Amino acid sequence: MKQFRNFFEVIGIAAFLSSCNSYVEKPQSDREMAALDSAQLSYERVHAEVFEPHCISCHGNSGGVNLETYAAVFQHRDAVSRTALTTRTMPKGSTLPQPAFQLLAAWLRAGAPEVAGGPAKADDPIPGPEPEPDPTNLIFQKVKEVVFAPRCIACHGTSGGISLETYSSVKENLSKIVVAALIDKTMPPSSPLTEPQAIFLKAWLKAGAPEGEVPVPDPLVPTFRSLKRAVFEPKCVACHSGGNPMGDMSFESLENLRKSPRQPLKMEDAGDPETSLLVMSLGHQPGAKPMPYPVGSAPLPGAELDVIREWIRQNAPE
Amino acid sequence: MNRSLISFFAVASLLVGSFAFAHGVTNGKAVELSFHRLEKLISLCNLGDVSKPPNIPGQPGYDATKCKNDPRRPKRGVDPAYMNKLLGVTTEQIPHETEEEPAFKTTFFQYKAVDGTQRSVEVILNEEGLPVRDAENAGGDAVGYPTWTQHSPVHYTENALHWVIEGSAADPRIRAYNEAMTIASIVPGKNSAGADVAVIDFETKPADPILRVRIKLDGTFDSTEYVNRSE
Repeated sequence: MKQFRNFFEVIGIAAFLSSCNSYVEKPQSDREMAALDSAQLSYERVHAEVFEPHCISCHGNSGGVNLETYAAVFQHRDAVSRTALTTRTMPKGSTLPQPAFQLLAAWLRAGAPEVAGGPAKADDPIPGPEPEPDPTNLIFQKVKEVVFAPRCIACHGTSGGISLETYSSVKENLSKIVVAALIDKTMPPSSPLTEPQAIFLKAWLKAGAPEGEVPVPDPLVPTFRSLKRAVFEPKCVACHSGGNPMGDMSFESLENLRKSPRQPLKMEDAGDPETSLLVMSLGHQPGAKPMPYPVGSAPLPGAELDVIREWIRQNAPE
Repeated sequence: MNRSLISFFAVASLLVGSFAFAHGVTNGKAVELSFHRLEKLISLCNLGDVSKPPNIPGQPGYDATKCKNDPRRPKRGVDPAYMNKLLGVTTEQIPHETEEEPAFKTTFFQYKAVDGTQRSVEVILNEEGLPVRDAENAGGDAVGYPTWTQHSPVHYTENALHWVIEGSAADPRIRAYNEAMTIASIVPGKNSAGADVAVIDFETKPADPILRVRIKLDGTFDSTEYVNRSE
């Protein structure tokens, strides 16, 4: 469990890092400002002074993020900004010298124009949110095909060390994989995962790193069993269970719920579930304690609340 | 002492004979469950036409004296102002023979109105603490009530009540208040460090000390002491 907590912590860190906006430092003197006049900010100059001496040895056309062409750099400019300017995890093993740092910062701030004084490349759409992979693809075999086999297994096979060939071994080493491949980006050592690979790996981790096909949940229906599985167990039972449940309400069984002195299922007006305590609380009705707790937690999705309303309207069948 | 407080304690003093721990739940638990019933009655009052803004204290158009007028539902529930104008609560046991019959009567009091009337809500529970019926007694708009900024007096009193009920298992002296509580009242006050707190007094028999529980304004427990009535 502790390992899982750490795992989710690192996922949180990874999510935070990936959502950070690019931070661009300002040049420090008038002279430097003059040197970074927008009329001189071209891709050719940035390529010659930044990418060629500091990046291309790894980010050439050998794989991973290619910084050899303007189109590729423009496409990856957010990642460039993040890794070279914000987190300074690039170039690997060092940081950009100050003049190169400032030139890159000024160029990115100017919209990463291809020619000096020109507009930002207009025909490339601004990158939007990272596309989410198809959820049905988020299984170990696919992650192995997309990420581990092409980028990792040459070293991390069954020959020793951490093996990324089997699900059980990957599962045991999830936190190390997250740190090395997504946070520190020290793996693969030749170049980090490509953005699509990183996105795929993150999505698989976010889905709970499943081995096989993610089961399609049964549709939610107005019965206690269905609601218990989909709503009460994940969102209520942690507090509302046991011998002394919070609010004198236990969601562990329908019998317990019916026995509660709070009468959460009772409709004050017959046939009107809005007058039941459960719907009042879940619907954040003024005067009722808003649930789920703690205050500020996301309210139940409307579709779930509608099924609960219908369940209570039907006198809460098992 | 405030006139509302005097009359509240006068009414309450009539109840103090019934302090014995009866059948199902304790007096303290009955008061706690009555609070929950009061909250539900307030929620019922606030239930209404979704096209109208909810009747929430502090929001524009709030009317403390009225439930929402929802044409889809009969008017019911109680004045939402009990949430902010609570003076105190009394409870008494009712002689009964079966477990379904009324076993507790708990009454919530607001501060008195200018004309001397006082709104109250009676909640009747059976011996298992299930609500049997309730009734609101009319009165004018309360005046002279303290202003609570962070939480309602209902919230503070409930928190103090939880402290008594939970402390009851380990401390026989606290248990006596859980089992035989007849009055709980709330006023603003200070703790020993001079910080603002909610002071909730629990009473049992007239001769017994008062159990005073202080709750910080954030709703957490502050301190407690037993206070002799002569003090």
